[in-house]
Amino acid sequence: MSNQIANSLLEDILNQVAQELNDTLPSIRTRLLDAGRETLSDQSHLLAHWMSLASAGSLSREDVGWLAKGNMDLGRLTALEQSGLALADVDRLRQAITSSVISSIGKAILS
Amino acid sequence: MMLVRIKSLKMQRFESIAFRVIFVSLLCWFSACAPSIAPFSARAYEMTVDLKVDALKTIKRAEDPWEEHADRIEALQTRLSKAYEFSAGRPRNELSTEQWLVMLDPEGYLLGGMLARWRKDSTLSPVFIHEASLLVEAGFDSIIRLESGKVKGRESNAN
Repeated sequence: MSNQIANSLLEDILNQVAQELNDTLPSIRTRLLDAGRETLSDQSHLLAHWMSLASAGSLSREDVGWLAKGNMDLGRLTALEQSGLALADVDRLRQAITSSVISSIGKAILS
Repeated sequence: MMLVRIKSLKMQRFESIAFRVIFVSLLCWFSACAPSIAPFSARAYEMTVDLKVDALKTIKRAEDPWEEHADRIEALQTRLSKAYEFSAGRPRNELSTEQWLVMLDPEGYLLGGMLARWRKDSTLSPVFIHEASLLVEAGFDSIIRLESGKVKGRESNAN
């Protein structure tokens, strides 16, 4: 009797975990890919913009070099941000699994 | 016959209790797991938003000689150092702290580097100030987005 309950409870929990993973992992992957794509597109766009300002004499060559390095530092900040947000997603997933376990145990105890 | 039935009932009861103990232990284990990253901190969020506004206001004056704003810049740098120390003091907050390091590095190319360059050159050109301010602003936005994306917990307001 208790084996049956344990099996059905375990199955219930595993289904919910699978569902949570299914919902969470693609969103992390999409966000990381989008961030990478945006960074690459921004970098070429900004560099062209600064080069045109340099051609017009509004920026020096030193300024353009400085700004390009600034843009690379910004890329580092974005990479750190994306890593942190991915970890936060993992924590949310863990919280969701904990809630699922609590609710499954609650149902099993009451039934 | 009666003895066997009593033994069977006792066994069922034991299994039921063991089953509950196992799951309560499992539950405790799940709850006790340390989070991967520090939870959201309202204080860190507010500090960063305030510093973003003040830093952008300050660097917009970089057309003027550094000395004219030396006091204001020093006050800003003190507050930036406090924000960094606050971030570094929070457990599991290494990624946000690393963001502050990149932003404030005087040998880097965001706020810290811009203030260092202002000091070295005494004044900066308006076009350079505008373009570099956009990078600094985007950097602060990144720090703010990471903080606001953290899990909001019970301790969020206290931190």
